[in-house]
Parts: sequence; structure tokens; C-alpha cells
Amino acid sequence: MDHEPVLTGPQWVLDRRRFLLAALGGAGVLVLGACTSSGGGPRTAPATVRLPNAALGFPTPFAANGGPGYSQMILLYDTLLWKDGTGELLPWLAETVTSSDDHQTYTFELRDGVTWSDGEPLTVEDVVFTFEYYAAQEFLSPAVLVQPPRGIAGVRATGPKAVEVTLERPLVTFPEQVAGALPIIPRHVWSSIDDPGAALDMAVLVGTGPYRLESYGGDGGPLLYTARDDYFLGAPYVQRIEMNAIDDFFSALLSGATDAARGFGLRSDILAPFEGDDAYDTITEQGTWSQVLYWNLGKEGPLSDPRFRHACAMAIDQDDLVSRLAAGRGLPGNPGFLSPENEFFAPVPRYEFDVAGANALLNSAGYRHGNGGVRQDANGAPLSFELRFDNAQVELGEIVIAALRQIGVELRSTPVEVGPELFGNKLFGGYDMVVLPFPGPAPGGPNADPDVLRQIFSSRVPPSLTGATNYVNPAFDELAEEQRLTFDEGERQAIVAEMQTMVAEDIPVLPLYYPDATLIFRKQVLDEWYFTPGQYPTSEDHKHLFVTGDESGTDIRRR
Amino acid sequence: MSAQTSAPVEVAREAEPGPDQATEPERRRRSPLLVVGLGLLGLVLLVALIASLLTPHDPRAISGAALEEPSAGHPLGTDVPGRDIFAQLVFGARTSLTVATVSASLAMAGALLFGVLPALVGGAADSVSNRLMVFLLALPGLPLLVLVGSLAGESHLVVIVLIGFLGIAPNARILRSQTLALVQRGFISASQGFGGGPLYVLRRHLVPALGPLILVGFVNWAGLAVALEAGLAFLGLGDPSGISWGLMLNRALAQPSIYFSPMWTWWVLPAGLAVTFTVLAFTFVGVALEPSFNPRWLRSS
Amino acid sequence: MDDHREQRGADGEGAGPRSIVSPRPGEAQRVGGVARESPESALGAAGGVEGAPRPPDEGRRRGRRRWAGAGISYAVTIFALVTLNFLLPRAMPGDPIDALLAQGSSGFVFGEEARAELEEYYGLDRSLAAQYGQYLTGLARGDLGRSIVTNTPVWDELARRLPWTLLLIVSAALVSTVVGLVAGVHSGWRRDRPMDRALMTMLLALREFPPYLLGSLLLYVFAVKLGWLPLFGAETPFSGAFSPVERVVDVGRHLLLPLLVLSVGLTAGNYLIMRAGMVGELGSDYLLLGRAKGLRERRLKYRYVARNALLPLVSLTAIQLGFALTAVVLIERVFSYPGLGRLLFEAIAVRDYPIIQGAFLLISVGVVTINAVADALYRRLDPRTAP
Repeated sequence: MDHEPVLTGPQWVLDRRRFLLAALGGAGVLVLGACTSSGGGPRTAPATVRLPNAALGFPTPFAANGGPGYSQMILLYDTLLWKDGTGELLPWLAETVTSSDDHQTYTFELRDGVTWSDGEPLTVEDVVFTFEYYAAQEFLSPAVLVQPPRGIAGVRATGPKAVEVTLERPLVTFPEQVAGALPIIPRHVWSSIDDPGAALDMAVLVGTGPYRLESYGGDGGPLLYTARDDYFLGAPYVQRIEMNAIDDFFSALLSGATDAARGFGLRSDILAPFEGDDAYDTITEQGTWSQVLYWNLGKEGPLSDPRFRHACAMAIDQDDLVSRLAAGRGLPGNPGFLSPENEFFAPVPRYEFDVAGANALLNSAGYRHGNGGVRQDANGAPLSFELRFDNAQVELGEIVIAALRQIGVELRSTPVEVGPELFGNKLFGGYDMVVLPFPGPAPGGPNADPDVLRQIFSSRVPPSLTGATNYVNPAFDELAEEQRLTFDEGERQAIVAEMQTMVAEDIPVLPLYYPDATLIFRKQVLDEWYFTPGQYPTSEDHKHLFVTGDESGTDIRRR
Repeated sequence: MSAQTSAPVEVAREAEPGPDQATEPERRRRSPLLVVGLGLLGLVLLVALIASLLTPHDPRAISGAALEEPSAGHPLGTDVPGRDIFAQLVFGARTSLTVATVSASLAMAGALLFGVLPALVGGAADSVSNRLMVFLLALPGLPLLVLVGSLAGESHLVVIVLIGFLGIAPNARILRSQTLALVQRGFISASQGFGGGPLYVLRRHLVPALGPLILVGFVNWAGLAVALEAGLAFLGLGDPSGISWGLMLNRALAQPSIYFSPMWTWWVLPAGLAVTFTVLAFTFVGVALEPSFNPRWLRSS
Repeated sequence: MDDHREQRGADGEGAGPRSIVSPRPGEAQRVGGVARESPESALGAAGGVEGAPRPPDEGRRRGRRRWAGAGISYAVTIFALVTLNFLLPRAMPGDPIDALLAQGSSGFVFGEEARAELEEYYGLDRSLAAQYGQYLTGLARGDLGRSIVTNTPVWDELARRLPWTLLLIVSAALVSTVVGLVAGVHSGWRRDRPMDRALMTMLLALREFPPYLLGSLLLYVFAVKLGWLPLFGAETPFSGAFSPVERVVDVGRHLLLPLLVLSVGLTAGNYLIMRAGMVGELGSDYLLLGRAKGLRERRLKYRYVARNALLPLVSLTAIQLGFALTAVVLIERVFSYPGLGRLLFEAIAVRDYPIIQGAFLLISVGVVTINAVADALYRRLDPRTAP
């Protein structure tokens, strides 16, 4: 396949934000050293943090499931780089990282004194083995269907502590999506394992990570982590993390059964008891998640006519969606796809809610009213389509159907369970229109690295679940490749802005709205909660916070 | 039928001083269960019939803001997209009664086909169909419904048909027993001997003897169908875009932390009570119609 | 209808215990008639309708044949369930590979080679017959496949959940039997009195109240509002420091609400059976005799009448387990109780077919087995059908 992506990071890391190279101004050499921010004042370290999430798969890199599963797994493992609460990539297992002038070679110098949880020291061989082992897998796991990183030309040890990674061609996303995401695994454990997805024995849970898994109650069961006092950054700030299967997060928070709970577009009555209570605090992040409307551009007729899609967009009142489906807590959709909170967001004209305008547009495009108020195309075929949506989004589906009815477009509702039908049909183009959550079952997101635009819209990327089906725009494809190779942030910003304009004009897909993510937490237990910028927000996804107790840096807050 | 055969014995016994003085037919006639049950069923039926007169709103149409509190315009407020909850409640009666009638009809029709007919024919037909029924009886209902429901996707029809299907075996067994008893008693062979055709036999002997049993079976299965449909909808199986009480419960309870808001009192409770009272009405009628209490619950396993 | 039971007895095959749940007055009388507990055995024999003694030899032969028939019928049922479990998912629309893909990450890049690889991994590229053979041999080894979501062996997941479900249903069956028995005896003894009517209406109404709704309301009141009982789960997780007594109390506190809701559903059935049995016994000759002899009411009520009416209830308790095993699907979901029902619910939500099938197989084989045991128990206990 000639359009095979040169390098794809493991997909759960779509959501990592851009790598900060700005300070180097594209000079081509990147040096990151250990940070030296000072710790906070003396406060009591939380003995235990309890979270309302059950195990999502067995926490190895090969069996952990989706985004939250990744967050649970990564507490046991480490990556070469890791991101803090400000969105900055910090050297983590690597003490320093250097890139060549052409950004094609990265050299990681490992820290001293890093040990696996079974006492063995971390070696450069482990790192080399990790890259080779992932590359040998067709999928990281048949269960998770995460693909191994591709586009890596070679990995070799260049010194007792140095590993050199050479890419097939330079990629701006490498530090964040590969070095900042790929868990390093021990060679002495995995070298004898052929089917890593089926390795579900507690004995394989050997990592360099800050925590040990004390207890695993099966998928959907509780998880108990305890801190490793011999962790290379020092004893982690949070000593114990309990995760429990809880359905009703906020009742559990109120009754004291959990210390933090997260929701999207929360109703006021849920927030009320916490807002009135000093014991709790709340943080909110916008634009991390969206519901997206897809048209199948592979079908002849109206679906592949941009005027028709424009009219649809104008008939849907996105502010109304926010007020109905997110209790007013959210943002209307951006036709440029990236959320307004994304650093690469470029303002593009919105399709303002205008039913009369939409009708006029359809009239001028030759879609005349036919029987029963349903329009017809030039061949006399009615504008009647099937709209598929996830069973959990029936409300959204109903609103979209009602909205398009106003402009003489009939949608037959086909709500389907998350699962075979929805995704299978979406993937193989067997649909007219679909509403899908984005990111879907695994994270990534509208405020992740803008490379997400390429993955969704480029026709050089093979079909994927969230891809824009049959959208072909060669000019866009060119830009999409170009931005991956552009290390100057200003230049990349300009390219990405142009991509957004194209997407907004063609609208092969339309983000409908972005509900706000809100995390409510018990202050007394832990008070420094943050949402990692660009990350799909889960309440487990706070490794940096649990280790350091702070928002930034690698120093551990004093207890 | 059993009332005829057992009642005289009972009357004779109970003529003597005992804890209960009433005769069976008397007791049934004035059974408060029957009165209450029929009353409730009548009410549900009435609501279902005149649903469109009770509310100006289309239960599927968005007619207000999301999660409105009860008001004159929306007596039970609105749900998330902004549809009238009261309208869903009254139109939900239609769904429930449809499910009840169709499933129970299927069950009883199947019971006649696999219970009565083979028993009349006798021989291998009877023995084969009886074995089949014994096997079907052993199939666990709810798990089967869950399995098929999850595989079949969002079809309401599949659920209705399957509920009806599950009702065939238990009812066929009962009807078969009764038919065999009739056959043994010789009425049928006698009338056949006198030249009565099958239709005559059916009209003259079978319908009067089996009718009450069929009615009781129908009522009982109808009640069970309402409960099962609601339970499956609650589990998220069935047609998610339909209008039904189970679906109302599913949607309401899917709201995060519904009990934080008083809305459960006008959203969850009415739907829950509607299911409860409808099932209860069928149960009451079923219980009251039977000469003795034939607990229906076992068939639900 | 009266010959319902005889019919079943004469059939000689596992008619399914369901058929014994219609103890009608006339029928129960006969049971009473030949019963072992008559105050005056002569009277009891006189009241027997089926009193005609059979030659003992013939009885034994018939008994053996009946047991063999029941065994074969059970085996056929199990085999049919196993096959159904294999065929149903394949007969339904939707492709297991699509289901897998739905679990994939949003940006997962898909090609036909990947599909072929997956089909090979799951053995779906083979013929239906080969798959069936593989399924059967796997089953014989206790291998139910792996979850498509977590890759865990299905059997491991089931085994992890089973003990909690067993705890729940066994305790619920016990509670509901005792409560149903006492209420039924009282109700039947005083048929149609206000107490009887009140009990019957209340128990029926409680049974018909959707269990998931009852559960949600109880949870809200006792766990959220009052904070007396835990909100979720079957035990306080990570309770390593608990003493055995504390642990039992902890498990009990978690069990209380689900147990209550499940028992409410089961009690009505026991109650109705017991009540009907009592009503049937009330006209018995031995009872008249007992009254005539001036036996105390309480003694009569429990010692003789209830004891005879108990027969259906004994096997009923076993069937209750079967019913409870299916009801847990709804109840465990509400209480986040980590049993089989919850597992099934979670699997449905993500269409994890191997788990759904595994849970279906386990639950249905459980129900069928319990029913068969109940049936056998009934045969042993029923004087008319005992060998």
C-alpha cells in the first residue's frame, strides 16, 4: 500500500499535544534536561486516592483497553518522555533527549538507577527490545487493536545508557506520540512471550512505573496500586490508588466512596451539592470530546454534494444542542474540526443556524419539494437517508432528524448499539449518514495534536472508524503530509489553518458540539488536580500528578 | 374443566364448618382481585385508546426545552431532547398493550397448535410434540431473551415474538393435559362416533372446556410480556427509538445521578408505577379467573 | 387440569418442575389423602384417590425407566443448549470481526489483511463444521474462548463472578422460602380474611414492581441519603486488614439490599404455593378428625396441614434458585454487584459475544440442572411418583 502512513504512533496517544520545540526555533537540535522546579510547601501527602473506575482490561500495554485502560496501565510502566499538567513533555526514563539536525535521529540518554519492579535494572537493551517487540506485532493486542508504531528505520544502543532511534523520515509527532507514549517493557519478561495479548498473568506485570499492582479483580473489577518507594524519581506523592467499579460517580463522591468523579456536560443539580461545599473543588476543560456527523461521500447524489451538506449544517442549531444535551455546558461544533480550545485552532466561518437560508440553498441547488414535504434531487429521487447513531445518543439522533425535517430532508432513524453494526457499517462505507462520538472508544480528540486532521481527512490514510469516508482532496492531502514534516511551529500553524479552512468548506464531517469535561474532587485528599492539555480527560489519567503532587516538573512535593 | 370437577368436592367439604365458608363460584364472582384487575386494565386500555386526546404532544416530537419541570404545558416535564414525558407515558400504554396482546396471542396460538392439536390426533404426533414442549420448557427464558435480543439488534419485533415463543411450551403443556383428560373421559370419541365432525367437536366440547384455561393463560402471559419487555428495554435491548415504559426507565436511569434531581419523581416513578400496575392488573385478573391460584411466576424462569 | 400431575407422572419423563406449580385444591387433597402425616393413618388411606397399591416389582422397574428417561432428557437439553449457543450468534446479523473492530481505537487503520489475520486468530476462517468441532472440544476442556474486549479467558471471568451470584441467589432462596412459607400458612389458614387479602395484594404488588426500580430507590435512600449501607459492590475492596468477623459483616452489609430485592420477587411465588397448599389441605378428613379430637390450632396448622402442603415447596425452593439465577441479571446491574448478571450486562453493553455466550451457557445450564434436580427431588418426595 503506497499510502501507508510513514509513522503512526500507538493510537491511544493521538491526544498528546504538540511537542514544545518553540524554544529551539527549529534549529534542529533538541536538548531536554531534567527540570529543576522547586517543590511546594510542606503539606500532608494523601495516603490513598480512590477513583470510580473499574479495570479496563489487564494493565499490560498489550491488553489494556482504550484510553482509560491506558491510563491504568501506564501507572505500572514508564515512557522515555512524559507530559505534565502544563502540557510540556518532560524527560522521564530518558535523562536527556537529543535530535539530529534533520530530525531524523533521536538519541535518548537513560537515567541512572532505574529499576524494574522485580529489582532488575533498566538497560538500553530493554529499550531496544521494546521497539523491536512492538514492531513485530501486527497489533499491540488483538483485543485492543492498537497498532504498533511504524516508520521507524532502526533502533540501536550507542552507549551504556544511550539509545538511538532513526526514523524513515522526520516526523513532528514522534517525541509526543511515540517517545512520550510507548511504555518501555522488560526484555527478561517479554522475550519469551509470543502472544502478548494473551499474557494475563500477574507475573508479567513488571514495569519501571511508580506503582505496583497489588490486586486485580478482573476486567470490570477493582484495582489497587501501591507506590514504589524505590521509584527513580523518589517515593511517589500519592501512596495508594484504589479504583472501584462504580456506576453512579457523583452519588459515590457525595457518600464518600470515591475522591474524584468526572462527567461531561453535567446538569446543575449534580454540581449544586458540591459547589456549595468547601470540601470539594471543581475543574473544567472544554473541547476535549465531541459528537460528529459524517456524510458518506462515496454515495452519488446529494451526499456528495457540498451544497447539500452546507444546508444540513445550517439547519442544525448547535447552540441548542449544547443547551439540551450538555445542560448548557459545552461549545458548539467547529466545522474546522479542531476544538476552539486547540492551540492550532484557526477561526473558520461557522454555519450559522439559518433554516430559511438552508432552504434557499437547497432550492438554488435544484432540490425541489416533492411529496409529503420531502425534497427530490434532479432525478426525482427523494432526499431520504438513513441516519445511524449510537444507542446512547438517541437524543442527539432525534434532534438531528427533527432539524433536517425542517428543510425537507427525511432521515430514517437507525439507532444501533455501539458495536458491530455502527462501526462495521461506518468502516466499510455502508451508510448514508452517521453520528459518532469523537474520540470513539479510544482517546485522541479535537484538542489533540493537529495531526488528527490528517488521520481523519487524508485520503492517503486507509479507512478508519473515525475517518471521513471517501473524502478526496489532493490539496488537503499534500498539506497533511507537509505539516508532519514541519518543525517550525509558526509554519505548521499556518499549514494547519489552511487545512481547517478546506475541511470547513468541504465539510465531509461536522462536529456538532463539545460538552465540557468537569472533574469534581475532594480537596482534602488531593488538591492539585488538572486536566492534561490535549488529553482525553479521564479521572485516572493523572500519573504525573500522582507521582509529583504538582502540576509541573519532576520534583516530588514534600510530604 | 377443573372448576366443574373440583368445585363440587370443595363445596361438599366446605359445607362443614371450616375456616372458609364461601363457595368457589361465589368467591370468584365477588373477588376484589378481579374487580381491581379489570378496573386497572380498563384504565390502561382507555388511556391507550384515547392517548392522543389526553395530550396535545407527539411523544416523539421535541416540544419543549430539555428537562423542563412539570408545568401546565408539560404535566410531567420533558426529557433530555425536550419531549413531553406525559405523552410518552400515555402512548407507552399502547406499546405495552401491543406487546402484551401480540406475545400472548402468539403463545396461546402456539399452545393450541402444539398442545391441543397433537393431543386430539394422538399417537406419534402427540408424543413428538410433547417431547418438543418438554425441551422448550427447559430453556431458560430471560437469558435466552437477553442473548437473542443482544444479537438481533434494535428490533422490537424479535423481542415480542420471542416472548410469545417462550409462552408456547408452558401453556401447551397445560392445554394438552386438559385435552387428554377430555379425550379420556370419552366425550369426544362419543360425539365422533355419533358423526360429529372435528368442527363440531371443537365447538361443542373443546372450546367450552379449554376456553377458560386459554383465557387464563393469555392473561397471565400478557402480564409477563409487559414485565419482560420493560425489563429488556431497561437493560438496553429492543428498539431504542420506540416509546415504551421500559425505555423511559432506561433513559431516565441512564441520566447521570438522576436522584440528585427531583425529576425522578415525575420521570422514573410514573413509568415504574405504570409497569407495576399494568402487570399487577393482569396478575390479579389471572389469579381471580383461576379456580385456584396458579402462580405464574415460575414460567418466567 | 386436575389430572395435570398424574399426567406428568404417567409421562414418565422430566416434565419440568413448572408443571407442579399448580396444586389445585382437589389435587392437594389427594396428596393429603395418601400423605404420611395423617393423624389417623386409616383415614388417610381411605381418602386416597390413587390408593390402589401397585406390585412393588413393577414400581421399581417403572421407577428405573423414569430415571433413565429423565437423564436422557436432561442430556438432550444440555446438548441443545450448547448447540444453540454456538449457532445463534452465527445466525444473527453482524460479524464478530466488526464487533472486534468496535473495540479498536478510533484511528485504527484497517485493511483486508488485518481482517484475515483476525479471522485466523479467532478461528473464524474455518468451515462451520470445523468451528463447531473446535467449539465442542474447547468446551470439553472448559475452554469457552476469550473475551474480545479484554482477551481474558471467558471461563476465568465466569469463575470470578460465580461465587457472588451463588451467595446472592442461595440466600435469597432461603429467605424467600421461609418468609413465603410463614405468610402462606397464615394466609391459607384464614382464606379471604382481611389478613389474607392484604398479604396477597402486597406480595403480588411487590413482585410486580420492577426490581431494578425498587433497587434504585432503596439504594438512593439507604446508601446515598442515609449512608447506612454501601453504594456498590459485594465487599469493601482491599479489605485485607479485616478480621473474619468484620469481613462477614462487611459482605453482609453489601448483600442486604440486593438480597432484599431478589427475595421480594421470589417470596410471592412461595407464598402462593404454600397458600394454595394450605387451602387444599383445609378440607382434608384428617383435619376434620384432628379438629374433632380437639387438637390445638397451632399444632394443627404447622404440624399437620403445613407439613403436607410443604411438598411442592421443597422442590420449589430448588426451582427458585433457577429463577433467581436469571433475575440477577437485572438486580446485579443496579447494585454494581460483581456477579454473573453484572458480567452479562457489561458484556451486552459492548457486545462482547464470547462473554455473553459463556454467561448464557453457564446460566442456562445452571437453570436446567437445578430444574432437573428439583424434578428428581419431587419424584422422590411425592408418594405417588416415588419408586
